[in-house]
Amino acid sequence: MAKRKTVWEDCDILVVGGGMAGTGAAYEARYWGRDMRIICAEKANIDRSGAVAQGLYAINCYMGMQWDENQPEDHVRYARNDLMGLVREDLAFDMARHVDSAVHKFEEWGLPIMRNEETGRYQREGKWQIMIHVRVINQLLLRQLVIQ
Amino acid sequence: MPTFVYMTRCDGCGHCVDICPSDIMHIDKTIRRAVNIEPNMCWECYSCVKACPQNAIDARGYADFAPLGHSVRVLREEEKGTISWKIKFRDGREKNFLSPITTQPWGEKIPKLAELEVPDQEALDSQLLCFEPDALNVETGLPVISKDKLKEGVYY
Amino acid sequence: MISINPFSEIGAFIPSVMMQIYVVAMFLLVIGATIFDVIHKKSAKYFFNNSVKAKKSATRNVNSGEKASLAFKTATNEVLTSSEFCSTRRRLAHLLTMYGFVLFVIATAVMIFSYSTPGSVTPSIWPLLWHLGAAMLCLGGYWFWFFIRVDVAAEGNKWYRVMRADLFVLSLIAMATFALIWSYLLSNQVAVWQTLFFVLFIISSTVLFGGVLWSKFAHMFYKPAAAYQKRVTKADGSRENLPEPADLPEKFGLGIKREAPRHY
Repeated sequence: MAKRKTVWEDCDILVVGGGMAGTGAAYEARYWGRDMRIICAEKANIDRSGAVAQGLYAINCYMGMQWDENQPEDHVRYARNDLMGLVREDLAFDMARHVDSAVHKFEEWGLPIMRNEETGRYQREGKWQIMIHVRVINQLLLRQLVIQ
Repeated sequence: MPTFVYMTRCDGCGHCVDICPSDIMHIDKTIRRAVNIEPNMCWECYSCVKACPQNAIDARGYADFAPLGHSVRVLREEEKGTISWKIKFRDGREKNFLSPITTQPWGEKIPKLAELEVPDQEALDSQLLCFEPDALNVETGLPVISKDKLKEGVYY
Repeated sequence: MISINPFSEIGAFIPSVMMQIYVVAMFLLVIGATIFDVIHKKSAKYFFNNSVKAKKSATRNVNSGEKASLAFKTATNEVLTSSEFCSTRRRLAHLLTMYGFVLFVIATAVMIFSYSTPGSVTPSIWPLLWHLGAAMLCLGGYWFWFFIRVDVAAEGNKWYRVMRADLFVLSLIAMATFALIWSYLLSNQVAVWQTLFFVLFIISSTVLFGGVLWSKFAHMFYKPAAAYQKRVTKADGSRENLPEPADLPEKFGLGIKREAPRHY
């Protein structure tokens, strides 16, 4: 089944991979660069691409700043503890402070997140994890993003 | 253990071939039905199981956590937007799960980037990502930290 | 061309008895090879074991009256309208090919058994149906071969890449094509070529009916049996361990439109 075809494309931004990270990066790139030519190159079917092809049951790291649950500094400390100090704390802080907005936008766009019935907050499973219903497909969500 | 196809149920439509992320579901040459050509490489993501319109694919679990006599089957109904699992343990217990796929109508709630206003140079230069700081849901905006707070207690 | 019964023309060179023996031989080959295939693949044992397993996890009893109605429903839905196909294109192509084949075979049998001598007067319906059947076969068959065949549509192989699974479809298309060409040449009295295409027609139909053991011909008998068994498992609650279709609680029920796989 040799179907090798070489395609030559010019672009301003090339995102290699179309999993969670790749489609998110492509979306972000399009937001900031409206006129740019952005290519997201994914080897598999983008509906099921990446490490979360099977769907997820949880988001592993959510701060909960809106409910004062955790702060980015806590996450940096947690990561440093876990990795015995071998972390880039500035990068960990940057990632931690941005993760909340991504989760909120996902929920707005259709991600089913389980809620704690009493408090109305996201249902936690430990200090950092929140449980979601997307046992099915994360990508379908992001795929809608990318088809724009 | 990898996925396998019930040949009596498969009608050779090719949905599983299309969706497998590892590119190991292919069409058998003798009978034109789907077949898993590389069971070693299957990571049991269940994409093919969910994608098959005839529910002709199933997965065999590894014997350490799924000994013989169990059954795990999934039914994904896209028109209804639901996914159901039925898990039968080999001592007879049965568990059923039902989950939604999405909570918003398909393709509607995600804003079309072409319709949003173009970020200006100030926004480009700032440290905010798209839709921040509103999406953070905090009044104080994007958290910042001063450099001397990092690597506290570390000495060389 | 459409009104001429080609078998009565050929009846001048080939005795009717030979043609009839051929038809009966093909029929017996199909039956015999299917039975042999079932025994060789142990399909009957497999289906029997399946039904035993299903009975164990059944939640309700299906009595014989209900089974009869399920068999009837299988015949009307899955057999007559090919309802098992989820893709409309495939379903249409299959219906065209199936009814074309049925018409063609019945018309051939009728014309060979009743009107195959040179002087016989054939009621015009039979050659018409014969040609119509062959045309439907060609239409559905070529459509399937070039566009719908899963190797081409989902795997990206070229249309000329042939494998053993294509034996049935190719011999079917060949038989119908050669039949039409032969009939056309007959009506235009082109002597050498009409013999050639007649021979090709016979060869392809022999391959079609004789190759049942190696091709997918027998699947046309297995599929309705499998469909009937599937209906029984739905009726008795075992459902092959699949979950029941969801009844929608309010917060669910938002459908997804997945893009149909047509990436080649």
